[in-house]
Amino acid sequence: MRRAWFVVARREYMEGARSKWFVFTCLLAPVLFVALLGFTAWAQLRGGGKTARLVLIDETREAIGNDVAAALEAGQLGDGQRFAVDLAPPATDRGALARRVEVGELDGYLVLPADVVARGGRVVYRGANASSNIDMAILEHSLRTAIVASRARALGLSPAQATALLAPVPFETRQATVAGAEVNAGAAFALAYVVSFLLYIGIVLYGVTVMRSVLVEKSSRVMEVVVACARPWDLMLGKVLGIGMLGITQLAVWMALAAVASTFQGPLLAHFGGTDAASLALPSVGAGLLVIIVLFFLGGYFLYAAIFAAVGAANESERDAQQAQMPVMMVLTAASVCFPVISGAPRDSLAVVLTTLPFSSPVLMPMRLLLTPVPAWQVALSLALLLGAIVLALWCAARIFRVGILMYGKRSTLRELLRWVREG
Amino acid sequence: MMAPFMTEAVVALSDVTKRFAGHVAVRGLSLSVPRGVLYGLLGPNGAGKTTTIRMINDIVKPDAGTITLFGALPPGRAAQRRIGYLPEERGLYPRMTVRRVLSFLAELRGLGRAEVAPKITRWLDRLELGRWADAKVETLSKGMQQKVQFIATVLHEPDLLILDEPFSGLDPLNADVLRDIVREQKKAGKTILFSTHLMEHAEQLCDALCIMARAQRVLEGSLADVKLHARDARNAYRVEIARKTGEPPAALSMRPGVAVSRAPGNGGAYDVELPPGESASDLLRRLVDSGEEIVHFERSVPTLHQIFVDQVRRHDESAAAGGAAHA
Repeated sequence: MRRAWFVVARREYMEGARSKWFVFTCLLAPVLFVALLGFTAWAQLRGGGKTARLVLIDETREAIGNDVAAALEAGQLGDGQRFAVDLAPPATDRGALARRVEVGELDGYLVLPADVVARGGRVVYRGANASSNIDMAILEHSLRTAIVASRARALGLSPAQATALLAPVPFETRQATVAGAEVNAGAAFALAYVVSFLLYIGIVLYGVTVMRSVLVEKSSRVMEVVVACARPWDLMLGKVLGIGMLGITQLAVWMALAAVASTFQGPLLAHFGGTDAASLALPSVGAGLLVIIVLFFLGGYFLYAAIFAAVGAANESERDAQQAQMPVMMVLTAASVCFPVISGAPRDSLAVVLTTLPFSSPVLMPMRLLLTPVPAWQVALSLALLLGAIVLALWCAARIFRVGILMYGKRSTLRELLRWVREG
Repeated sequence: MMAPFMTEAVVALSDVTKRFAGHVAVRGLSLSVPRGVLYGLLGPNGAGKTTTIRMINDIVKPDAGTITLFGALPPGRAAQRRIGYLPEERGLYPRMTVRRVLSFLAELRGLGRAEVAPKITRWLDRLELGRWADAKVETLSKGMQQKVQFIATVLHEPDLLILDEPFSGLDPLNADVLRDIVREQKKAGKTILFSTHLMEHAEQLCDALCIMARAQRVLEGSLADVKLHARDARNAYRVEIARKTGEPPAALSMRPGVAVSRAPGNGGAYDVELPPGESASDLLRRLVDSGEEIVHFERSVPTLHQIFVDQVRRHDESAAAGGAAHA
């Protein structure tokens, strides 16, 4: 004989999987995501081949204007954009230049002050493209190259000596992880952020689905027959498990699609600017770490889904529930706002506390695990507290469920909820 | 007063009390539903009928007292499998198909999916819903949804049917469908407990009943016993004379404390209520002496409606008196 929670879970899963919404998000969301990526890439590329025109006013005693202009014109962006530079004498009317920028004849103008080489006077650029990070990075790089070269000349260094002096110092960071493996720090950081963000999104998306499911049973009045067939605990457990499985299915579909897409990774990357594909390889995550991350994900989902279910049970309409879920959302969002706290100092005591508390550990501990070795006892303590919180939340939710599902037509106060939990 | 039922009780409540914040919903209720009986739980709105039914279904827990089902089980999962429950607030999952929602509810009660499928088909065909089997519930009319609800109540072949205000909100056609199902289930030996505040339904259907008022039991027994007892408790008679027009015979009301009213019908029939202790023979003798032609004379059996109103009013008065005494 099937257990009641299994029957409930199967219903939630099958009805969810049949819904148009689910099929839509499973198949269309990745398509939209890829389309969005493609669109941004295309939007950046279409600037390619264009030339940014600027005027350079050279007030320097050393007359380094030509060198700067040459360096600027030699610089090239990934998308092939170039600068075209006109030199202008110090007496040039700035107002007229500003007007030319305004009407679009010019992209901007640059003023090299007289003392820039000797005393480091401030170079000022005014232009319509000053907000473009890429353009400004090129501009700054070219300026620095030309000015440093002329300073070297002033010090009597030969070009070869200057080059030797300015040779870059190779510096690489490797993040020590719990698995003991060293990984590229940038990639570890990116992975930690992506994983934690996905956990946050997953918990919110499917937690709210659980709440909706409870509300539908209440508003359709089917609840009374259902509670006459199964214990509230079975209903809670079944709902949370069924919808959780739905989430895992969705994740699996997305990962399968991503795997298919990644076989085209090489050609795609080559198309978008020829970046070395190997440099983007993510740090490999050990199986043990993966299991722990999955445990935290499931734990976080269970904890918040139980709370969302209780919110659904305690409220009559979707609108009331939307309001009542705000505090829950705020706790979860507050946890995800703490991402930088963890990534900034993963071994700090604040990070330890945040990754131990059950309400924040599901989204923050995976990040910390990916960034730094975490003592086993801390992981164990965090998981144990999370498990305890889940049991408590499910238990409370089942009791609120039992009473709340039969309360129609009135909103419940926090005091009433506490009474329901006591009397359940 | 009433003879205890000799058969095994399918539902037995003993001194059950349920309090909600601020008020007592059920107070010290004891009742016993014998096997194979159609049992009515009667009472005005707010008497505690639904709370009683929910306690039997293990939806709410009693604060005190014991509930025993099928002779041995407490309310809970094992008992729920043998109960078919039609709540007053009825509904189904709007987005599920009729077949799936029925299968789900039966599976929750422990049936296998394969075993329940042919039963669903049979019931849907019988209630003329066959071609809606794969339609979503939300596309069905209210009446059709009610029929689906009936099927969900009996699909798992429960030993005990519990129907809370089953006829409220039903159109006359569906009320007949439900009445047929109930009679058929009874014929098959099932026990049926239903609540209603409509006495006509109770009088037509039930074999035994319990009247509740203000969270308490007012009386319990078989319909026949209740009626007999109520008849014996009143000194009331139906008198019919040949003369169908004119004033009521003076002989009927010549004594103080006698209430006479014209009975419904073709005239000539009167309901006479004598003061306690007054002899019917004296009344009959006076009538004979007055020269009226007597066609019919019998002790009146009150309708369930009259019994109900009497009992509830008496209970309210004694409760008020009790309250005054305590104050």
